[in-house]
Amino acid sequence: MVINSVLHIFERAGLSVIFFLRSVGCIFSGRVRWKDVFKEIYEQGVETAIIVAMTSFATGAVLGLQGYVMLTQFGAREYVAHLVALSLVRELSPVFTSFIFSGKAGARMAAELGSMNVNDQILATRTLGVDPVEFLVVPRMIACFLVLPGLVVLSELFGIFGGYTIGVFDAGVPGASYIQQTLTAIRFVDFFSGFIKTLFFAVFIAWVCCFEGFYTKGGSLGVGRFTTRAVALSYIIVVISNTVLTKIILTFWG
Amino acid sequence: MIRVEGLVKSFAKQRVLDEVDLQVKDGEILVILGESGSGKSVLLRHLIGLEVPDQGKVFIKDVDITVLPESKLLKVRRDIGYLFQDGALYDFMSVEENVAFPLLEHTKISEKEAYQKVHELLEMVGLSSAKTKLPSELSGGMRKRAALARAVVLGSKIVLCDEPTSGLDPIKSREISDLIKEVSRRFKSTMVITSHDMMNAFRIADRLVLLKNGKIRIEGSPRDLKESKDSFLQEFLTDQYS
Repeated sequence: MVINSVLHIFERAGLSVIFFLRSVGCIFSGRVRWKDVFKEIYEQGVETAIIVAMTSFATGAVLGLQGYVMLTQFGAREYVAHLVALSLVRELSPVFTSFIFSGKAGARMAAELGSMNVNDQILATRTLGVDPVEFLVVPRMIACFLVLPGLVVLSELFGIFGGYTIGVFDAGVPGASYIQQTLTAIRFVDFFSGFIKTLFFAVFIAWVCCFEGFYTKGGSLGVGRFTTRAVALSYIIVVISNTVLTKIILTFWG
Repeated sequence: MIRVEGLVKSFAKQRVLDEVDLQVKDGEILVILGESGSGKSVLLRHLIGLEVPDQGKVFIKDVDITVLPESKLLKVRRDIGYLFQDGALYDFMSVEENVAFPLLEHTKISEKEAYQKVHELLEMVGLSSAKTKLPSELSGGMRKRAALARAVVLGSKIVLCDEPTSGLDPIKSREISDLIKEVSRRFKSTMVITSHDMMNAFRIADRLVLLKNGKIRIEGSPRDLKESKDSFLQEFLTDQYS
C-alpha cells in the first residue's frame, strides 16, 4: 500500500516533468499561438486584476494602520511609508498576489483543462492532428508568465496607495513627504528580488495547474478534486519556493 | 485501406482485444457490433493510434501506425476523421468555429474560403441555423451532426465513428445513420463504425463484424448475419428487437 503510494507519487512527478519539458519544447521551437496567448492574458489578467487591486489596497491600509500604531511608540511614525513599501515590494505583494492568482486564474486553468479532458476534447485535439499541449497548454502557460508580474506591480501600487491613505489622512504624514519616503525606501534590489520571485511563482503555478487539469480523471467529480489539488499544490509550492528564493536573494544581494 | 493483424490489448490484466484480425476495403462501411465492454471502442481507437497495442499491427494505407511516434501520428490523423460518442466539440468555440478548426489548422485556404466550405457542410448536415451556437446550446443529435461535419471537413478518406447513435431516440438515430451513409457516398469515405444499434447497423453497413470477449465472433454482409444461426448473434438480435 505504502509502496504503491510512493510509486504513484514518483510516477506523477516524472509525468509532470515530461509535461513541462514538452511545453517548454513547444515554446522554444516557436510553436506558440499568440492569438490564443492574448486571449488568455485578457481572461487571466482582467478578472484577477480587480481582486488584486482591492485586496492590495486593503493590505496596504492595514499595514499602514498597524505600522503607525507600532512606530508611534518609538517616535518614528514618519517611517510608516518605509514599512509599507518595503513589506509590500519584498514579500507581501509577490506572495499574496500569487495566492490570489492561483486561486482564480490557476483554478480556472485546471478546471477548464480538466473538464476538456473528461469530455474527450483533449483526445479530440489529437485525432484532429493537433498537439494538445501546443494548442491548449502553451498559451495558458505563457499568459500566466506574462500576467502575474504585471499583477504584482499593480498590487504594489495599490498597496502603497492604501498605506498612503492611512499615512496621510489618519497618521497625518504630509502627502509629499510620504511619497518621497516611499521612493527613497525602495531600492532597485528590493523591487528586483520581488520581481524575480514572481517569475518563478508564475512558472510553478502555470505548470502545476495545467498539469493537474491536463491529466484530470474521474468525470465531474474528478474536475473538482484535481482543481482543488492544483490550487493547494500551488500554494504549497509558492510558500516553499518563496523561502528558498528569499534566502538565495538575501545571500547574494543582501 | 485499413488492415489489423493479431491485435492484442489488455487493461489491468483483462484482455480486451484478443488476436483480432480485420480488413476494411476502400469505400466500405464496416460496422463493429458488440455488447458494452466487448472492446469495440478500444479497437476503433487503435485504428487512429490513440491506443498502443500489446501485440499486433495496424496498417493505414500500408503504413504500420503502431510503431509511429506521436509527432508522426499527428500527421497520419489529419487524413482520418474521428467522431466521438458525445461529439467532443470544443465548448469554447461555436459550431462553425469547431468545424472550421481542422481547415484553418491544416490547409492554406483563406478564412473566408474556409467558412464558406464550413457553411456548405453545415447545410448538408442540417445545422445552418445553429452555426453560431455553442455546443452547450445544442441537443445530443445536433452535437453529433456538428461533430460529423468536423470529422469530414478535411475530406478524409477514412472516417471512424464511435457509437454515433448512442443516447438518441430511434428517429434521431435513423437520421444520423442516414447522414453517415450520405457522407460516405458523397466523400467516397471508408467508414468504420462501432455500434450496438443493430437496426441501423444493418441499414447502413456493407459489412458487419460482431465482437465477443475481444474476439471476432462472426463477420459478413448484413444478409450473411441475418441468415446466420450463430447462438450469440441470435441472442444479441433477440435482445435488441425485444
